[in-house]
Amino acid sequence: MTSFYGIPPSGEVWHGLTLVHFFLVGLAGGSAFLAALARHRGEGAARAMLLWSALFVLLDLAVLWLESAARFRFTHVWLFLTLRPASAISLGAWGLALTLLLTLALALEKGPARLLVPLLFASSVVVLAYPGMLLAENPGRPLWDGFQLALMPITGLALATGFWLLFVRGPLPRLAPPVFLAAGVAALLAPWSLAHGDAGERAAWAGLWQDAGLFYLSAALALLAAGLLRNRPELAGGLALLGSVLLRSLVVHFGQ
Amino acid sequence: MARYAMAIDLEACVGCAACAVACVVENQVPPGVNRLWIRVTEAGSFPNPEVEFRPEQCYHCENPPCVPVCPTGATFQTRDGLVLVEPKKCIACGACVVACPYDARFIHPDGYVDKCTLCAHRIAEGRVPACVETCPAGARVFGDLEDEQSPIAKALSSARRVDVRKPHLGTEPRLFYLNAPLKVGLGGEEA
Repeated sequence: MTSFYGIPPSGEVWHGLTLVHFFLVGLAGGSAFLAALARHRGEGAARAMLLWSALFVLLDLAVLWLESAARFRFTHVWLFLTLRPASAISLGAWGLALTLLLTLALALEKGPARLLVPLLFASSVVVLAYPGMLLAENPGRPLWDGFQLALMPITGLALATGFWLLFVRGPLPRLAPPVFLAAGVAALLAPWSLAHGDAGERAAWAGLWQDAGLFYLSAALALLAAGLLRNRPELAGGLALLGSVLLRSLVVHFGQ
Repeated sequence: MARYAMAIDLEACVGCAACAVACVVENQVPPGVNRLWIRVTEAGSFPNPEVEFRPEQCYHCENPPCVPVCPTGATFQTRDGLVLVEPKKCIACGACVVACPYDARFIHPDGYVDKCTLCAHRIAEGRVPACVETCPAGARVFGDLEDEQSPIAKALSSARRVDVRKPHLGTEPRLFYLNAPLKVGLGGEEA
């Protein structure tokens, strides 16, 4: 039997708003990536996508500020006085800021598109990737193994693709099925990765499966189904959006 | 260059929590959070029950996972091996709290991350940390690992058993547990 004098201080650090951030950052990064693609192809919807992407980034930054215990200390300025490549949050902060500037510049046609579009591709990839890096760099949180480096970007892209398919019927319909399928396969491979990890990783997966296994499986199947529903884009988009959000929330919540 | 470290003789520790109280008083730790706490583990059964009091805190790891994840450099490692937080730079993002495998960090009510500093302000004055000074059982030892004559070097060399928490993570904690009566949570998975 174990008891404590005093309380181990940590516990859950990231709460409900953090889950909103993980939703918004996927939406922002994925939308910016798709917008860059649309702009590169000269599609008519590109401008709207760029503006919406900028809005998603702004919303995400607002959520990050709101959830911060230091929101009225304004220490966030330090994020932009230094770049620390080993820190996922540092990369993410720069990625979000650059994505905001680039989407606005491209939407307002300020600056050379031949330079800005590749830069937007790069910054959106950083935004898509950094949540996975943030999770994977924690040795004491076995659920967040190295596979998060793949799971978070692909589910972020699936989330944004689903959003655009559902609400705007999507300017890039051919891209959606392979993205959804890849996200579904990644969702199924994640537990396989944990099952082949050390005892801590196996126990972490067992805990998630016991508490929310049905939800996890539903999310993975929703993504796979979305990838197969080629003739029902709205339904596919809705399933992908729902599956991605659920999957990311489960991984973040139970990983703590 | 010094390499500061601490050792706690678990055979000597009686779980009186004087160290925890001294820490709160010395560092003005607010209510509801702790820089230092004591894990009480009971094992065995009558007529051979065993109990282990294990004080836990920041381990000031040689390879601290909390340092590289900090986006602003607020968390840093001194040349003496102390892992500290500069509140003025901290944005309370929680990355270091999550990265710490020992759950040693917390968000201070004033909006920054806080944890044990090994009483760096006292070390700078040539004094030992408050918990070491207070321990009535003499279970805590502090000193410089580079100095063979330091109390900690002697304690480590004379101990029957030396453990650190979660050694498989490669963090190389600089707080050592000596003569642990139980093996629960040391050298393997946590209890």
